Amino acid sequence: MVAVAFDAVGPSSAGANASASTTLSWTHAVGTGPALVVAGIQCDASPDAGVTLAVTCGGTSMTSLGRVETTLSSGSGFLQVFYLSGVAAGSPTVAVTASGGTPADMSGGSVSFTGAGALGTAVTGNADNAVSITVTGVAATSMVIGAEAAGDSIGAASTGTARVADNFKGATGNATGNLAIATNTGTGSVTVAWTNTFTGGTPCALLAVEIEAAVAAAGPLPAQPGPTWLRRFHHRQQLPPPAAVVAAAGGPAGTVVFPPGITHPARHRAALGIRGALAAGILATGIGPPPVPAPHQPPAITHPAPHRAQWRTGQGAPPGVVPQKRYPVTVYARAAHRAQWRGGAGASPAALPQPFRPVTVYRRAQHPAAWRTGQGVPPAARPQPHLPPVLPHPVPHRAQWRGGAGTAIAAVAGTGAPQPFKPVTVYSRKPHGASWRAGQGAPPGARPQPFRPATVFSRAAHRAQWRVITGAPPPAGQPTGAPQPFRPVTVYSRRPHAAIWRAVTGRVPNPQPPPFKPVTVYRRARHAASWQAIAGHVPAAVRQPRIPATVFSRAAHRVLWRAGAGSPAPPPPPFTIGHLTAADAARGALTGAGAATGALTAGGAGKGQVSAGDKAAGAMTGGTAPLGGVTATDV
Amino acid sequence: MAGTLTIPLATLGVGAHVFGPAAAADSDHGVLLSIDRTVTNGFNSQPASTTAGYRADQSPDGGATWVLVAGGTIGGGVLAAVPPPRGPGGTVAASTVSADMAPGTGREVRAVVTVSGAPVAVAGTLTIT
Repeated sequence: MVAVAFDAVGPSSAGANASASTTLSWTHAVGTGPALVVAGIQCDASPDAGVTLAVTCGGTSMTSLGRVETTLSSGSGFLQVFYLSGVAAGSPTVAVTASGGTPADMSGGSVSFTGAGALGTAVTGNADNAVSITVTGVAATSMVIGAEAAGDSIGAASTGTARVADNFKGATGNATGNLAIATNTGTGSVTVAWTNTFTGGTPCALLAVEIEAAVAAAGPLPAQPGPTWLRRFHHRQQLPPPAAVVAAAGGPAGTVVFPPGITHPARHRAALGIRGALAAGILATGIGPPPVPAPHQPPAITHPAPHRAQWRTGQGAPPGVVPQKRYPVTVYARAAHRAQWRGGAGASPAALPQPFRPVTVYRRAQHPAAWRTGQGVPPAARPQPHLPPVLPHPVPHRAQWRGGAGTAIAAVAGTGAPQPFKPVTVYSRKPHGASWRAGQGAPPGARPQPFRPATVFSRAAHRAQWRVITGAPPPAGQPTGAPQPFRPVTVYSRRPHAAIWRAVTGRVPNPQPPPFKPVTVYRRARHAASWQAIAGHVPAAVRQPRIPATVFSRAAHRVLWRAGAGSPAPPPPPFTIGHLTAADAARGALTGAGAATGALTAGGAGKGQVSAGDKAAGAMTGGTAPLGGVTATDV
Repeated sequence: MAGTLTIPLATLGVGAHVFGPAAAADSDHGVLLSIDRTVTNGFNSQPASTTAGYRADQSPDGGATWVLVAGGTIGGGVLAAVPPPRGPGGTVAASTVSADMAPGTGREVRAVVTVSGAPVAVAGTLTIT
């Protein structure tokens, strides 16, 4: 395995740079091909979220090893490293194209290597004032290349060999503007570092990667024996070394280089068998017929020339054969198996240089979502007149400002003059009434109150306890304190509730009859129509015997009676006052004869109903009594 | 020799325009090509569709062959410069490319401006250092 070696740098150790350009190109002179070309580019754009880089070398797209943003939070610059392997010797152009915006500046440089194979995993980092980056697990035959982009001028390489140092913008870029590329060798951990000349918080971005040595070309692949092999060759075939047959990258396409002659060792005679031995006129001892003793000698036997197949071993022309004109055989190099090729073990051994077909790279429009989120400028946006960005600073919270910790936070550090100090007037706050009333602190006008010992009353024993025992009542339940004097409990008999009393049989305890109030009932005179219907004078009014009214006490409500024993008392009779008796009827002028005379007919009875006027007159006819009686209104 | 090759103000049509060559001393090592964007009808007043490639070439053989030293692409429109405190702010006044030349003797340098889109007024300098 051959170690990786540095080849050349392009365009020079000073790099190439451009400002206000969307492309940057330079020439990289590859000394020995095929070579691995690694290009590092710093892109200084603010913002850079929508800016992407594409790099070609000799028209062939290079592959990105990684993009590292500088530490500036606004995303104003980044470092990106590309590589391309198998670059032929010559002076290809390395072209960087920025899409998605015009960077304020770009700078780049390229380094080519010989004997390079695969690339390791890129190590990236970004930190303020960072000047070194380390790759671990580096093989002795490898080489490490590191690149740094910084916002200030980068110092000289302190570890490794500087390849490119392009302090294009110094301290006047957005976040980068300066580029440095260096290489280093070693085993294990290999560091690429630069002298730290940063004085402040310089945004930096670094990337380093191990360039592994190319894997040696695989040895001849033995052909597998088969029918053809057995029939025609009788020995293993060997393929020419792939690397030897491939034209150098600089050669014209399609050139076939003949491999050196393949020499096959002559086979041992024993391998030829008896026929071969006989054909060669060689009879070893013990092989063939036994020798004939002298004097008899076998006749000399002339052997024909060996077969041509045996002469193809290259040992001169067979005897008796006229040498023919030799035509070189075209042996095509066999391409390495894809599996080996994809393993990244160096360039494809049998790969022939392909005609260059430039790749058309279309600019991809940004996704609307990305555009709406403000990440990058729109693709079709035209540069707008420069307006200094307005950086709105939020007003600090009042709580912070009232804290009195120096100047107001609204003053942005670094921009603008400090604000005059304005002491804060802090007003004492009167406690809320509720707080005061909660007892937090003495009230303003409260005066101490005289001490009043709390009166503690002993609790008498429960009646249930008192009644079930004889003697002194049980002591108070409280274990502490002096025994309390005995105070017998006065138990008053309770008068049963009226409802309870009524539920039992017996008399009502204290039914107080209402005072007697005799009612004067006046006989009502007959109605004039009735008198006129009968003959004779109207009898004189006879004073009626006084019949005191009987007032019954009101029976208890049925509901109450039903709750007790027995049935409720029968309802009292209707209140009848002054019913006409038979005698009254006899004394009345209304007789059966009278009735027969038709003085008082049914219709007359109907007519003779007491009217309101009759009631007013107080008359009452015999005919009216049975019809209706006295109503409450009459009374 | 170290010096400046002036690209006079002119409206360049679509296509390639060569300025120079100029001889470079053996001690010269770099070139800086600058295009003024602020001239009337210059790139600052052009739409984005108006572009121009600009490059500095060197010839090691007296102008027989030319090799790219550094090149770039200018787009039309006003570009914001790096704002303070790191940059001057305002708008970008010039587009530049620069790189070191390959060492040699009897070298010559030239500037090539290739306009695309629409004619544009161009003025600039090619400085040899």
